[in-house]
Amino acid sequence: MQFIDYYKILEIPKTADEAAIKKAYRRLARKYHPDLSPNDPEAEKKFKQLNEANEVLSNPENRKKYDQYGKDWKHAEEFEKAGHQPNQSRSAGSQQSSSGFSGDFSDFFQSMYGEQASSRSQQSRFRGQDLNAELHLILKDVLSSKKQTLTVNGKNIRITIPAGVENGQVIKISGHGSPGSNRGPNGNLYITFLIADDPVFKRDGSNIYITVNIDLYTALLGGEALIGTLDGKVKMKVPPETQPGLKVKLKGKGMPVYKKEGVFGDLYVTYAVTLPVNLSDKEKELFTELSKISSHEKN
Amino acid sequence: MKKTEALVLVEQFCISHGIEISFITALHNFGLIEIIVVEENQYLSLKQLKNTEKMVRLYYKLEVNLEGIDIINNLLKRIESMQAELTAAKNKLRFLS
Repeated sequence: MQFIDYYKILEIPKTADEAAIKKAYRRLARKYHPDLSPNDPEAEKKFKQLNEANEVLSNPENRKKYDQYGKDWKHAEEFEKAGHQPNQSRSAGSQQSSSGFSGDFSDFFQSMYGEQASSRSQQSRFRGQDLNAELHLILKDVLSSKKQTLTVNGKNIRITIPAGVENGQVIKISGHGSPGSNRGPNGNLYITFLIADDPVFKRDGSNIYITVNIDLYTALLGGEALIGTLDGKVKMKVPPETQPGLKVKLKGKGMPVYKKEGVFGDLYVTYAVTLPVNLSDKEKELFTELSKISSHEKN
Repeated sequence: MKKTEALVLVEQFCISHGIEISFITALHNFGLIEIIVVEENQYLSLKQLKNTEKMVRLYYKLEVNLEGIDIINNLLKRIESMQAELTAAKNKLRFLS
């Protein structure tokens, strides 16, 4: 547990009067209030620090104790009994804690003023802290809406993963954040869906793109190609003289459209042509023949 | 068929938050919230509750006046929309890379 410099937090000198403390608190609270910095855990942490600093410095009794014992707060009781002047033994320099603010008040505050002080001091209700969680999924997980149980802060929450949800999309689950203080309402839970790239299907919104390899003969003479879609394989007719890079649209074979039941994007198939390798003498001969015919016909 | 909407009595809301009814009226007059009147009683819809509570905090705790609250509301909406656009742009970039 580290000493917390409340003056530093409020950006005021130690000589600041009550009005200056109030002004500094209001100014910084407007900057870091969670209502004004949604989904910003750093701002929320900073706001808690401000509240605590204000709680100590705006209360003359608390401020006196803080100023008197400062970093020797741990030994405040002993000093009082022994009649010591702790300022004499205070070493120079102080350090602002960057941690220890996991609750509404730091461990430092609670050790100095007691747990009752921290609950007594919060006369007004506060909404509980919003929680953020990430849910890692693969593309196939969002092809249809499904229920899943998540464990957040030791609590099991059953949520519906909506079909067609996009990578990075956030959904809010009201009231599933941290409990409020002084009978304030619970915070909310924000779940960010992180969808890993699929090795085969490339997604752009609700459309899907794939590349399908066909051999030279199918490309030239036409034929069939077996294409894997999101919901199984389909057989497609490949027209004769299909060029590499030709794009074909399979309507409605893409991703489900978010919040539009029964509506799907499209699947775009791009043909890539695989050229034969390790040609036999006969094949070489025939390709040479073809080449001659082709150049002869062009001339 | 009209959907039933959950409503909260303005008076009850004000008592529970320790605020004057005139503040809620002022928010309404300013166009920041909608008050629903049913049989001479004033109500807030449940979907407005969170935003109204936020405005209460801004006004009473941070001393932001109604004009300021209006500006904050608009800016927050823009941030939200820009965050959504940023996510979409990141996904597009991922698709193109």
